[in-house]
Amino acid sequence: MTTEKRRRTKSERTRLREKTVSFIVLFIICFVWVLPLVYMLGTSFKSELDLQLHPDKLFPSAWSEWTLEHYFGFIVREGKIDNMPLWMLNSLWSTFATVILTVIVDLLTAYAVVFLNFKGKHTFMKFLLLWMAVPGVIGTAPSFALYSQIRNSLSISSGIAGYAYVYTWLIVPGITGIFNMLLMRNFFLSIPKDIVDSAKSDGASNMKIFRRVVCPLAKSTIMLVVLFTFTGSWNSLIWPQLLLTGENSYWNTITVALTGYTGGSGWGATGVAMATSVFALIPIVIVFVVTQNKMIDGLASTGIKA
Amino acid sequence: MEIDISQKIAEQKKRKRQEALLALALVSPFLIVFLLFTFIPFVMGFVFSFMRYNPYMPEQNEFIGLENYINMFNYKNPISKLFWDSFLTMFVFDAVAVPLLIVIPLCLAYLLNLHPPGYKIFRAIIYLPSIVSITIVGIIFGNMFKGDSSGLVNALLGTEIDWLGGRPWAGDTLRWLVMLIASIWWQTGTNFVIFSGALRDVPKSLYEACEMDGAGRWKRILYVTLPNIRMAVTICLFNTLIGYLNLYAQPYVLNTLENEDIFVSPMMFIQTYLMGGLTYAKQTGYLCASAIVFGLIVMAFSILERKVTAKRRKRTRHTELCAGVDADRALLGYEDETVTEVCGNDD
Amino acid sequence: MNKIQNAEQPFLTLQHLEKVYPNGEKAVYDFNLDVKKKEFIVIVGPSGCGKSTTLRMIAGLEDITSGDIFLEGELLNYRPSKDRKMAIVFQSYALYPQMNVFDNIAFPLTINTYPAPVTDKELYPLGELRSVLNDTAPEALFNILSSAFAARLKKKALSEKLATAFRISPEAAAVLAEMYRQYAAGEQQKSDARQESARQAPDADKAETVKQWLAVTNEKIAALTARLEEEGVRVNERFEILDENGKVKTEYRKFTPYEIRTRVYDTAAILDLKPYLDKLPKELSGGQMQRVALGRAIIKNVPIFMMDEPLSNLDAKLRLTMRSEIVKLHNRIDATTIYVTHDQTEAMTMATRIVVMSRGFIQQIGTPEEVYSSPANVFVARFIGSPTMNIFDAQFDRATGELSFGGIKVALGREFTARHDAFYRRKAEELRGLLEGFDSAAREKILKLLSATGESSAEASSSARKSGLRARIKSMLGKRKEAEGPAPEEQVCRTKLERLEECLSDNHTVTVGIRPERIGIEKKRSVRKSAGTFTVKPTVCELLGGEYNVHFDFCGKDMVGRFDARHKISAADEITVSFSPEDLYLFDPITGDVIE
Repeated sequence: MTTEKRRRTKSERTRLREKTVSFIVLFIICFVWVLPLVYMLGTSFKSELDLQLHPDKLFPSAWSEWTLEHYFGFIVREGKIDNMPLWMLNSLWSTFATVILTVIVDLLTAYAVVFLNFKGKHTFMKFLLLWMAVPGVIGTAPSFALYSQIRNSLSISSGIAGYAYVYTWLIVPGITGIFNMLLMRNFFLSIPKDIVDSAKSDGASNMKIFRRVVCPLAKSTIMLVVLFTFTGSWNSLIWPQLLLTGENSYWNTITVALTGYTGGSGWGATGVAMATSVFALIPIVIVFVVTQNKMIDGLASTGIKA
Repeated sequence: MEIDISQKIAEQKKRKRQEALLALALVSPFLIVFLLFTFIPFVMGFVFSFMRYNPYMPEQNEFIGLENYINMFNYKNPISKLFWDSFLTMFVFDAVAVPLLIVIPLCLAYLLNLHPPGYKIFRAIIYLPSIVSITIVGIIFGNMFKGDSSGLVNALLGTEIDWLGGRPWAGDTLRWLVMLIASIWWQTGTNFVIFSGALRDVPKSLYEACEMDGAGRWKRILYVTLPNIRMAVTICLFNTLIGYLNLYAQPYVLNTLENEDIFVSPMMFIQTYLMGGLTYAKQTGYLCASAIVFGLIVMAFSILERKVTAKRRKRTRHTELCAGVDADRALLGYEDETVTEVCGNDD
Repeated sequence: MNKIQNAEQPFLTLQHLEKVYPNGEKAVYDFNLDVKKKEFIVIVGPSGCGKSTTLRMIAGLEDITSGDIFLEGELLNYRPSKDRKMAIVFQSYALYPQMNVFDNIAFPLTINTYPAPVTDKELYPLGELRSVLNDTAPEALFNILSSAFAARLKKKALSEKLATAFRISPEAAAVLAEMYRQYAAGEQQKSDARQESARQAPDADKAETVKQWLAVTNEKIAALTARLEEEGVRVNERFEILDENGKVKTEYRKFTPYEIRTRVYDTAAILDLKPYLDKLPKELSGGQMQRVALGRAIIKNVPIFMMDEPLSNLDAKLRLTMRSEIVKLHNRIDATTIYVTHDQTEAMTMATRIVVMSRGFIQQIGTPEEVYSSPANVFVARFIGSPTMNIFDAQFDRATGELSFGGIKVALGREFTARHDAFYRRKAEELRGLLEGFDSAAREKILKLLSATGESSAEASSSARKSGLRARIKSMLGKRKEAEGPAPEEQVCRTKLERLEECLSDNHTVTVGIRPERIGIEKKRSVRKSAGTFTVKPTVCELLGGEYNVHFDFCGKDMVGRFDARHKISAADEITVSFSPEDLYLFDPITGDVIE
């Protein structure tokens, strides 16, 4: 046995060099990539004085300058209960509602389209596929017109009824995302027909097949749809903004509410803005950290198939 | 036995009907919501675009034919001017941003695919900003690039550059640059992840075969990598293009008092007019027309993108040529034994 | 089956090739092989035995941990794979999905430069033309020329068409075309003048014309040669430029599109791919894709072909035809082939030499006959041959030199006992040697031994501990101690040695093997029970068409025998099976090696 050190072969050296280069480049990029988030986090802990004196630091300039004052303001601000928790709640419940409704509707529709025969099935699918190419912007204005007209004719203004009405319009249109439905359908198509057939021959009804065979198999796809809808709904801006502008400020979702801290008139309360951002990011970062690998892999593979 | 057959048919029909009914029941939630909240507004949009329409004063509504569209293309009309000006600025931004948002993720994905140590962490970090909502992106970048010395960048540089100021075509280059940086930071992740998934799925043996055939790194990228991830590139390009034609949030969150109200993208234009409530309500018909025109432009771009990236089959006639050669050889009375001569080892 | 091998010096030499993966897993141990020119080497073994890794190391796709590869005496280790003069065919074919068959085959030619003789730009085509004019029958020549001209092609297409037809360079074809053009114009004038409709010149006339052309060509050649001589450039008879040493000068250059085309067409002709040249890989069947992959390999015109399980993605029938086609191709292009498979049938039918591998070790190298008829150990015996060799245990009585199993005794003779003793003494000696200073080399020896018997080292060492209850309890109690104790391999070595030594003095078990096709089967119950004859009841009878595979229980083991299908047989029958002692293989159960 020779223990002397061998010369590395060329491919070994190339591979090593490639890995080193890619490591260095990616490391630098990732460093730059987290800077804005670090800046956000650090600034949210800066005291007012520090914000004034040391805008060039990512973190509070001294231990004494660390403060949680921007976070305290969320619950009670100037003696009154702050809107912040309400915004969070609005966002949370509407997002959850969207996610659950989307998953249910997508599962049912995809099941019908894949495993049941009915007239017009192919027309339906073709129509949806074509519709994907139609820009949504065309529908925005008339949707909004419809929304306000129905509201006028029913004379819903504010109060619980108004809130319910606004949030119906906020949630419901979002549940028929064609992309998510196709994702589910493509997954169902990939389920071997034999599994369903054998369940049928065992005497299982459609209901049983759906609940006991198909849904458990679709777990990972459901996860994916959940993640897409969750991030999409939590972060959506245009449509909620349209509906919520001019309404009671405590009706806002967090994403819409945060626009108050942006734009020309918003660049004031840096500390509070940052703290609120951190706060608003928490749910979604939790979702991300928990499902990070699955999410990325799922996105990577489904992006191609759909 | 005839009875049996007719019974059978009846039974079969019944079962089919049952199945169809069940299917209808399952599809109906999707269908109803889709029709009510997506399809009907879309049709209404078409109808409104031919009307002078005001949701708050239904009695004034009337059909005016193509007038909205004519107004739309009349640059002298102040509102149309706003629309087309915003379209132009958006378009110039897209021409820069969209290619960058394809190329940068592609390069990063290629580097990641070399699997350096800790690549999963890198992947997560690069993807992370994609889940941050644009308003937060706006808060972060807006504060970083604040115009006075209290912004991070200005403080670091010791300058007082007005990053987010300026009006279109008059000193707002820096603002677009900031938007570009924010966009890259925000949206590189999605395409990056799709690209790295596609790169991972390129069969390894193809690279090896290509290496054996004598191709270097660049040739391998050209002949193996790119053709095999073409589908992913098409999809990403499509999504990014559509997304950036609908540009709204970036300019909405990154501005100063001075240029807050200037429309720099058609979506901004449409959104602001819709949000205007009563003030702009009488413009609804016109807005529908402009949305349709804008939608058609978006569609035209997406179709163009599909056409450009579509696989073009190279037409060749080798089989025919080959047969011709054989015929000639036969005419000369040659056997086909010559072929070995070419392929045999001559070393 | 056994092809004649030319006893040249080894062409490709693999010395002590080893592979350790970065995760510390060792895939190939000490691989030594000399490959001669034109051999068809098949590396065969179960999946995960390191055969593909070996192939990929030779191809340069995998780094070599230690050991050397020489091609004609040249060290290949540090060469990139493209410079190794090798082509590889992958199991997945690895065709470029975006290119059609033509481009796939042409790919290696389009991206590389190849050595080509330097020729005189003017003289070389003329030389070709001269030989064409000399060799071709005038009628045929004129037929082709007139049909080519009738097609009204562009100048370049025309000369390329002629070039392919006559197998000359397009430049030469252009000269020929020009000559014909002038001739045809002349004929036209003449026939116009004569007001004759017949434009076909009589044969004698054609021959005359060809002679004229030849004369013109020769004149030109003479003139140009004279000029070259003035310049002091030396050329050979084909007008390739020679260097100072009188050798043909070569340059590395890319092939012209025309050259690529002719080569691809020729390759396609060999592989019957002509009708598919315009198709994309996804439009082809598995067999066709396989042929394209082969085409891409042979067009590179390299001396060594490597194939990594090329047939395993094909269905059974196609596999059979492709098998013979690959062998035919191998013979036709005089290549040296290294072929990796897990299918012993492929190995037996295709190879000139077989390398049997298991767990990263070479078990045996030999011609198909050798590995079939004299397997080196139990592993090879079981792996080669279908159905698998029957293996059962028998007792060896050392005193009488008799083997007893199934209630009978077979006398093996005195000299067997002598051989047996020698064998065990030798083996015991080897192990004893290993135990003195048990190092990593010794460890590998033990691993190799285990790879032949098919035991894992944990298994072997735990079976060792079975010896005493106390030892077992001890090992259960003191797991930590065990980790600090000697390596399991050393433990194995020690127990093996003990057992070997016992064998030298005592009766012991040996493993007996017999090939199913060597078992004699009679349908009727034998009347007299002679030595080596048993009456058994078949459990399963598999009809293969010409033969039965008859399964029956023997000594508590399932055994298979081959039986001619002319006699009907079913599981209800009773059959008589017989062995003849010379067909028995005797293996040592401790080391797995054949006792010799």
